[in-house]
Formats: sequence, C-alpha cells, structure tokens
Amino acid sequence: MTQPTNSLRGRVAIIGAGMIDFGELFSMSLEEMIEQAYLNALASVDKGLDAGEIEAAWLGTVYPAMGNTGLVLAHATGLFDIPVTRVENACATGSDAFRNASMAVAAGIYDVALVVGAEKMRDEPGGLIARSALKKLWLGRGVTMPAYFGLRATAYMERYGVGREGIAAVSVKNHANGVKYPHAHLRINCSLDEVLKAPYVSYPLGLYDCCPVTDGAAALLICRAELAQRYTDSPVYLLGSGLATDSFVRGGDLTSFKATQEAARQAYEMAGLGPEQINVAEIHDCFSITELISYEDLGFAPAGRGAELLEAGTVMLEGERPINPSGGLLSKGHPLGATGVAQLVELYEQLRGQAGAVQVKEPQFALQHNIGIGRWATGSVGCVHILGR
Amino acid sequence: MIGIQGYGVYIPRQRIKLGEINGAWGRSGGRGELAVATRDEDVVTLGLKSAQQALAAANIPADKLGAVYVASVSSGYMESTVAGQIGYALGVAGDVSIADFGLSTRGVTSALRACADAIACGRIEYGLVVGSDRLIARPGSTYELSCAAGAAAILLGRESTGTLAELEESAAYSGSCLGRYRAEGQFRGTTDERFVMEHSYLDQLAGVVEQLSRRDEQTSWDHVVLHAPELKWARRALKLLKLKPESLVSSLGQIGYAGCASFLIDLALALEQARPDEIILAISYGPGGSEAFTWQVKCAPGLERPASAQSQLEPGENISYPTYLRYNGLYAQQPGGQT
Amino acid sequence: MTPEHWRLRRANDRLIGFKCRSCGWVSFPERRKTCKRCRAAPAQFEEIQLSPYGKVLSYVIQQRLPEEFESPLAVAVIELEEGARLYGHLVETSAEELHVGLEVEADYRVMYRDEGLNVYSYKFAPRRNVAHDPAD
Ligand SMILES: [Zn+2]
Repeated sequence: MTQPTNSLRGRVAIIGAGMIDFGELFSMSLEEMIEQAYLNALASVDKGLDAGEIEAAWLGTVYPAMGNTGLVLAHATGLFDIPVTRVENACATGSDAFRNASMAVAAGIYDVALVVGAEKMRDEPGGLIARSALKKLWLGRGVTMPAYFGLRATAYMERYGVGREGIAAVSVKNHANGVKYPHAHLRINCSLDEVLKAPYVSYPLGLYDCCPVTDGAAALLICRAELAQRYTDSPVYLLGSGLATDSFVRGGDLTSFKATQEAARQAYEMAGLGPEQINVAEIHDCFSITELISYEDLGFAPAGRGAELLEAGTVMLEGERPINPSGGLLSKGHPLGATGVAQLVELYEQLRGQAGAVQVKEPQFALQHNIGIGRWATGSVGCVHILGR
Repeated sequence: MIGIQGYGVYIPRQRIKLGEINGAWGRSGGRGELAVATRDEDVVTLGLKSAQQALAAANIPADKLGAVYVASVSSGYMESTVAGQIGYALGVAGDVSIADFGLSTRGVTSALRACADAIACGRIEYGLVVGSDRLIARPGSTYELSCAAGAAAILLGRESTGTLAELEESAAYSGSCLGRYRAEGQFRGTTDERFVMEHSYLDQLAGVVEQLSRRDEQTSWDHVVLHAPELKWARRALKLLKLKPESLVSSLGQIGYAGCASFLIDLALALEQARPDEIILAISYGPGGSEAFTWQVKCAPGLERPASAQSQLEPGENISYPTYLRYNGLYAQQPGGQT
Repeated sequence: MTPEHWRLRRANDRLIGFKCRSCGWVSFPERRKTCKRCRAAPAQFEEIQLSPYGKVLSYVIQQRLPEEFESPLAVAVIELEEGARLYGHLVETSAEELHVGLEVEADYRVMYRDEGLNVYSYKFAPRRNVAHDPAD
C-alpha cells in the first residue's frame, strides 16, 4: 500500500477494541465506564498489550464543558505521566479523538496510543433536551436536537415528496438489528406502524425516530502500522479520514449535510476508494432522518432517493451493503463522546469476522460516520473514517 | 396647538369568558370576556406593538421622537425601564427623553401631560405616550373578573394637516382618598371596593370635571372616556356628572380592564367613532388623582384603518381557565398553592 | 441586561444585519469581520435594516420542552427577504396554516426569563398585512 506523506492511509492500525454494554448505567460513574471500556480493549488484543506500552491517550467526551479534561482518563485508567488530551467536537467527539490520535501515531510521535470515548448522559434527567442551550438569542432558542433534525425531515419530505413511512423504515431496520447486538441499549423490535403511531417528540419525528438517552464508553488501541503484527495477526487499518464543518446560516439546502459530504470527500480521496467499494457502514442515525440523508451525503444513493435502499433491502443486515448492523444509535443509544468510538469498535469486529449475530459477510472496507451539531444548533460537524483489513 | 398625530392599539387575541372563570370556581353566570396575553407577552411587547402602529399610522420615523413616555402599573419590575426597552426597539435616536410612569393608572395622563408640555414649550417636536398593562388578579378573587391585558399609544405633535384631534383644555384634581394600593409581591385587590369607588373614584371624577368647568364653559361632550376599573363605576360617574349615557365610550365590557392602556384604548375608540369638530372628553383615574382632557376632532381616522381599536375588540380565540392560569404564571408553585 | 445580550442588542431589537460587499451574504445577528460565504477576510460589510418579513423554509412542532417553554412549540427555519436565515418560534400560528413557504412577519415577544429579567426577541407570526416596521 502506498503511503503518501500527506495521507493517513495505511499508516495506523487498530489492534484492540472494547466497549461496555450501553444503557442506563446508574451504577457506573463516567470514570468507571472509561475504566471498563479500557480494560475490555486491553483484553481484546490478540497477542496481549501491556499498559506500560501506551505512550499517549485521547479522551472524547462532551459533558461537562469544563472540568472533564484528559485527567479523567488518567484517573480512570492509571495512565498518568503520559500525554492525555481531551477532545470535544459535538457528536463527532469520539471519532475526532480517534482522528487526532491517528495523526499523532502516523506522524511517528507515538508507537501505541489509546482512544476512549465516553459519556454520562442519564444523570441529567432531562437528557439532551434539557441540555440544549435554549436561552440563547437567535442561536439555540428552543431548537433541541430532535428539532434540529426534525427541521431537516420536514424539508426533506417537502422537497422529495417522501412520507413519514419512508423515514420510519430506517427505524424499523435499526431496531431489528439492535435486537441481535449485545451492546445495544434498546433491544426491541418495532413495526412500521408502531414507529408511525408513537407520540411525537418533535413533529415530524416520533419517539421511535429518536435515539434513546444512553450512558456508554468505548475504547480503541492503535499503533503504527509497521508494529501491528506484534499485537495481532489480523489488524484493521485506517485508510481514510475526513472532517468538515458547516453552518445553516451559510445558506444551502436543508435536505443534506454539507459537512458530511465534505468529510466523505476527504476520506474517500485519502483511501482511494469510492462509496461503491464500501461493504459495511456504521453511520450516524441519531434520528431516522439523519441516516436517510446520510445515505445520500455519503454517496450510497442519489439525492432524494435514500429510501430506495431500504425498499430494495440493500442496507439490511443480509443486504448488499448493510448499514448499521449494530442497530445504530437508534438502538445502541448515543452517548455522545462514546458514539464514534463504539462505531469503530463494531467495524473492527466486523472486519475481523467477530461480529457474531450481526456479522456481515466478509467485508473488506468499512465506513464510519458522524454528523454532529454544535454552536447552539447552528453549526454542524461531519466526520468520516474508512477502515480496511 | 398640540394634536394627536397618530395612534395604535394592541389587544391580545386570546379571550377568557367570565363564565369560564366563574365555572372554575363553582360559580354560575358571568357575561363578557377578558383579553389575555400569552406567556411570551408582557407590557414591553404589548406596548411596542401599539407604539409601532402609532408611528406607522402617522408616518413618522422613530428617530424623530423627542420623548417616549410609558405608563404601566404591571411591569413587574421594582427597577428597570419599560420605556427604554420600547424606545430602543422602535429605533429612537440617542437624544430622546425616556420616562416610565407607574404606581398609579393615573400615570397614563401624567405621561400625556408631560409630553404635551414638552411639545408646548418647544423642547420636542414629537412625543409618544404609551399605556401598557397586563393586570393579574389573585385566582378566585372578584378582581379576576375584570383584570385584562392590552396596550395603546398616541403620538403627539404640533398641529398639522394630519392631526386627528387637537388638545383643547385640561384639568387635574387630587382628592383625599388614595384608593387602591398594592405592596411589592402582592396581588391587586386589598381594598374595600365600594369605599374606593365612592370616596376615591367618584370624588375624583366630580372634582376634575369641576376643575375643568372653571376653564371651559362646555358641559356636554360628544364622546366621553371615563377611565374606570369596572364598567359599573363608569356608569355611576356618568349619572353623577349628568352626562349623556350614549356618549360613553368604553371597552370594559368587551375586553376588561387593562390599567393604563384602557384610557388610551378608549380614547382611540372615541376617535374612530367621532366626526370632525366633535369634542371628546377623556378623564383618567388612579390612586392619587384624575386628569381631564378635551379634544377637538380634526380628521377622524374612521373604522377602516388597519388594526383599528374597534376591530380588535372583536371576540378572539377562547382559552380555558387552566390555559389562562399558565399564561399568567399562576400555576401553583408549591403544594397548596397558597398566596 | 447581560453583556452578551447587550452585544446583540442592535440586531436583536432592531433587526440590523450586515451584508458582504463581495458576495451579498447577510450576516445576522452577529457583526463579524469575515464572510461566512465567500471567505473574504477581512470582508467589507455594509449595515442594512432587515425587513420584518420572511418565509418558512422548514418547521417542526416540538412536544417536549422544559417547563419554561410553551409546548407544543412550532419552530421554523426562516429566511428573511434579504436572505438572512434564522430560527424563529412561530406564534399565533395554527397547525392548519403551518406549511413550508408560509409568509411570516417578525413579532416581538418575551424569549425567555433570565433571573427575573424578561429577555425579548423577535418571534414570527403569519403575515397579516398590518403595517409596521421594527425600527422606523
Ligand atoms: Zn462574502
């Protein structure tokens, strides 16, 4: 594999991955979740890895805004005396932590690094809605997460003549997958009818169109590609990475996310791959509509035609290109900082053939995606990673 | 001469029927309804809307205003400025004179007089007088059956071709009975109402009319505005002052009592009903005094103008008693909800 | 009044916006020195009075909000006549009349309460052809 100096392609390997079962984890603190995810990642390394080999660590976590520094990770893991950096980038927090760690490793600064994404969501009873910055003039002003994505849904339905059922099919698929995924928060099936008849959270999005409020943590161990065989015979390589931001105040249509499109463009270009070569993907479905729009932004379907992938079965677990075999955020939950890292954990297992009940048939290339909102619901950040065996 | 160059009225669309309030408290009957502001309205937002309309009607830009005077007894603040907030949002220039008149509903005519004086002495060219109130009574009290929300504004300036009415004569009177009172944090309604009506209200209205008669020989007016918290008070005054019953202009029966705003809303109604050369008598009332003004109508705006006062008296959207309580922030904060 | 509120006051209370002389993009509510559309840096911005009229580009009806907000609460992405795009709470709008493309006008309301102080901003109501301008 060629390694241009301005690319991450093939320079970083994932050699260990672990997460905790997501859910309402009232019995675990943020640090306890981090500790367990870290231990699970360490234990997953095929040929073993000693904690002393970890030279640097990155923590992705969103709340609280202040105080949750890298020190939290150090206290949770005992990894003192080494550099630990905390990353926050909305819903792309975990994947951006991975991205930053990968850049440091690719640059040859560190041989082995730890990435942990974690979030304590349920200690705040109101969940994300209560945490939305509502008291902001012209910014947050009542635009909660379901509202932000609901605004996309209304615009999408209006522009493409898609009904709520076209969007709801995402929810049906992901909940069915989640039943089979051991780490998922919600392991319940729901029918199209149930999705459509559930109470509205933010019209046009109903309860099952929205991800639950979930605690969780996930961890990855990465190393320079040349050292991968020291830890495992089947490492997973980072092939492409992209990150971009956008804002609704810039104009543009409300039926796509330019931040995703730009991040995807960067990642595909770096990997030298196109969407048609991706075999499995974990993409951001904080709300059903988000996944539908992301099919299009990531190049899996033309604009306005994402729903056809569901109708044709392409994105189903048994389909040609399964999307969100883990059940996605809709089933697994969306502990902000943990989300991106957990998606990467799942894809690591998929590429190594260890995904159990949700294993996709011999995937070679996998894509991970987040689309987050920030700056009081005005800006968005997209992050895309492409992994390969 | 000083004239009214424009006016604006803003009455919230929501109404609660008196029968709905009575029903909630196990009482029967009650005719009429009250204008109710929603949860996101207050004396600033109500007042601003009326002020914007007054300026638009007169076609005078806000930066020409020399004064913005706002009267309100329900801003809820012990310290702040409603006039400053309204003036800024209107777009006034930096040299404007801003003042808040409160504590007594009579403040609306104190504002009017201050504004007219400033124009008369040549200090300012135009001044805006706004009355804005959102009165909230203790749930279950008699006051609840009259307290309402609304705002109105009049733009005063030197008489010109567009003048709606010209200020003729004025008088003031202060009596011995101060009437209603309310301490910080208290609901209104701590006084004996019959006592207040007889010894404050009727005394003041008779007193101010007597003062007016010393300056003006007129004893009969085409349209009469009698600022009153209840329609029956105004009717009593009408009889006492031997005025023609049909001359009374009042919105009380249709929208209830909105404090300082009611005086200006009724003045606007009188303008809309009047014909050129008719005379309007308008008397304010509030703790501590009354003021009377007579206006000669020049070019009556009529009922056709957009957002006329008359059109806003029409029944609006009816709301339930629980909604009314929520809008007014009156749901129980503590078990028992004792106040 | 808080410093943050004060900094936004001209935009918030008077609907003053800033238009990029290079590409015509309208910056609202903030005044900044760089253009978010054409990346001009520094950009030349011209102060403009925004119109109180605009249209609904998309909307949601929120059912579950903290107690201090009325719910259901309709919130829309609104584009003002000059092109500025913003979030607007819809007031006095029935579910039947709410649709993409609805013409609206700015309506000054209490946005939220902050330590006993009412903080105001423009919300939006269906355009009812009542003459008024926010700042003249
Ligand atoms: Zn520009």
